[in-house]
Amino acid sequence: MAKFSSTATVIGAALVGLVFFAPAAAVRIAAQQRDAGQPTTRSAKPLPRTSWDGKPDLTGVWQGVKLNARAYGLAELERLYQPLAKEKMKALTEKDDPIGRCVVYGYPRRMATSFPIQIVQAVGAMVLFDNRPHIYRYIPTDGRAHTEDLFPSYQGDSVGRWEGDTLVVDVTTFNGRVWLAGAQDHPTPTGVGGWMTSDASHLVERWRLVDANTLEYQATVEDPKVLTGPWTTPKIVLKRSSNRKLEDEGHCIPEGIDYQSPSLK
Amino acid sequence: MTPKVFCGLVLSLGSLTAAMPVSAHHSFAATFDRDKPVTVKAVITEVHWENPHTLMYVEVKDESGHVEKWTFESYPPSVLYRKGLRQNRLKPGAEVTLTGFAAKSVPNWAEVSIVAFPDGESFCVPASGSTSVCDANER
Amino acid sequence: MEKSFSAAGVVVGTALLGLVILTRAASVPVAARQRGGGQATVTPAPAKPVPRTPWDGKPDLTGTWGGPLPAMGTPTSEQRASSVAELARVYQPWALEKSNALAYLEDPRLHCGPWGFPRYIDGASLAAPRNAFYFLLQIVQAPKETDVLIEYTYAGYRVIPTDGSTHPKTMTPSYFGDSVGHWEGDTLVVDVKGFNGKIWLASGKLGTRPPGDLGGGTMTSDALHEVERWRLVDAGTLEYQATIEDPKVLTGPWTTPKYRLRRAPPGVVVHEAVCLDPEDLGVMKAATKGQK
Repeated sequence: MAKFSSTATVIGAALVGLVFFAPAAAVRIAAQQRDAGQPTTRSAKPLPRTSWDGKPDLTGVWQGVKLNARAYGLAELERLYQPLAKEKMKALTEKDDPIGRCVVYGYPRRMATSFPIQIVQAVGAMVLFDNRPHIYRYIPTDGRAHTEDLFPSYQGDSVGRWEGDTLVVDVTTFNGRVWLAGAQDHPTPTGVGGWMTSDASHLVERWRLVDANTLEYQATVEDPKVLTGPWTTPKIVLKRSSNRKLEDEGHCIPEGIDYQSPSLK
Repeated sequence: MTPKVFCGLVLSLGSLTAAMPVSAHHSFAATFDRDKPVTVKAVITEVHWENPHTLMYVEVKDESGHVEKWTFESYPPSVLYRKGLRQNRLKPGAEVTLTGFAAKSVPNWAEVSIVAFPDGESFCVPASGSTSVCDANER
Repeated sequence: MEKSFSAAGVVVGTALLGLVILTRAASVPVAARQRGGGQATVTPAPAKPVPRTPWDGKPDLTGTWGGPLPAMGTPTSEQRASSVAELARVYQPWALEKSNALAYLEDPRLHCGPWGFPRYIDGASLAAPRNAFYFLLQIVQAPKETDVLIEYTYAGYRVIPTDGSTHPKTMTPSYFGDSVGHWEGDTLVVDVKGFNGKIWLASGKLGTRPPGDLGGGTMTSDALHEVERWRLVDAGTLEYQATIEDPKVLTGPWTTPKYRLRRAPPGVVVHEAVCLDPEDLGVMKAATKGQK
């Protein structure tokens, strides 16, 4: 004979209540935490993680905003330039900016723009894809050492390792042709012109998923040929884009090159 | 300032002419002269690791002490890297013997087919794609 | 009678047992050879099974393909010749004429533009040992996409979603087109459209080609549509084949031969390859001065 004990009824009701009302309560807590500027932790969606090693999965298309000089910390960077380098830099203008000849932005500058990047995370590696201009950047994430005797390049030689949930990437072997910021990014009206780097540049990046839709990037640059000490960017935030892929930006054609592919029309 | 132009939708008609940079070994016939082989013993002053051609700037000293500057072009940096010809050897100050073919219309400019070092190690990197010029050298 | 074993049963049983013992024995010398052991044996090693991704058990195409090892000889030169002849046959006459009139120096790949697909695979399959370091293909496979890094078209890459994504409604025309992939058994089938009409299917003239004549190029239009089939023959061999349709320039579909590429030796990877920084342009112009 079915007979519900009063205790069971109370417990049952409590459980039902918990099931129905707890999520709503959780959302309210999360909202309060967000409003209070707190990271949503306990009740927020968990970070997406890769199935093979449980690390946060940075796969996706990420969209930043163009950071102005203040937001990008350029006043501090300007102070760090060595006097001789500073003299050279003051003579540089926008027309000397390497991105004007289709050279890549490089890092960390690339992360301070509004152009999205695409990331894929695979076993032992992370790859960045870029369409401004078209280039890939391969980052082994298995903690290996730098490639021996590699030739210098625009994006350098990257090796990554996980420190908890933060991917720390060490980059060396640059060719010194990228800038850290644009010529028009003056921290002050009388600020420097071109934010040069050298082939002695050393970059350490920290890539972190704050939540499923927020990627945080921070970089420290050392460059003994042009800077008196290390410069660390502010924490740069990119948001997940709903696009599956980057939009193709065509072929960058630098000034002075008049080639255009023949086509049938 | 007009920086780059991203021409996703640029369409062009028909053919064109331009004196354009050419890449890789397929340019050999157009740029270099098989009838002008060159071998120099030189010291490297600079190496430009860039695409489509890595460039070696060298100084050649003859018996009288007269110094001539030459430029030798080679494969892209990544190709040289995979062949084993790397920054630790190919660098300013290194003594090398370069064998190749001179450019048709530019003086003191050549492609390098063989890069040889005093210790006997040498690399076969012919722009022509034809390895017959360096059969004796294995890499 | 039931206590006696039938003679046939004994024979079959012994045969089965023998088979089991022999196949296990066969796998040991293979392992020794792979370790570099100097066994003098004439039995060809059974190919290593294809690696599979842990998240879905599909063949894992991850790795670097092409390289300095001798080309696999697939396709044969006869297969290549007949494939090119077939391509010439399906070209619309006006397009064929225009293509053959192109000058050697108009080739996009000579101006830091990509070879594109399938032409790049054709190049990779042809590369002689010393030149094969150019034509590498590095594949990175992840749960929702398979991506291809192509160094020798200067920093080219392809992102191929395998998560059921379809082509977007609007596609900005590009050299590599927009790719979407799905698995049919152990074959990755990739559908590509949204091309910009600037890649060539092959080098040189179709049809009679005077010796030493480098001109000509098999042009495509923005209506190009490719269906590729990628599969691992074994752990060390990647196979590629594509069917090409282009209603603006072809009269019908054309299928490439099957191409096979070897896995590159360990440690061989693609690097950054940016081309061309105009800072170097002055130097290049000097080198090609007077050249047509």
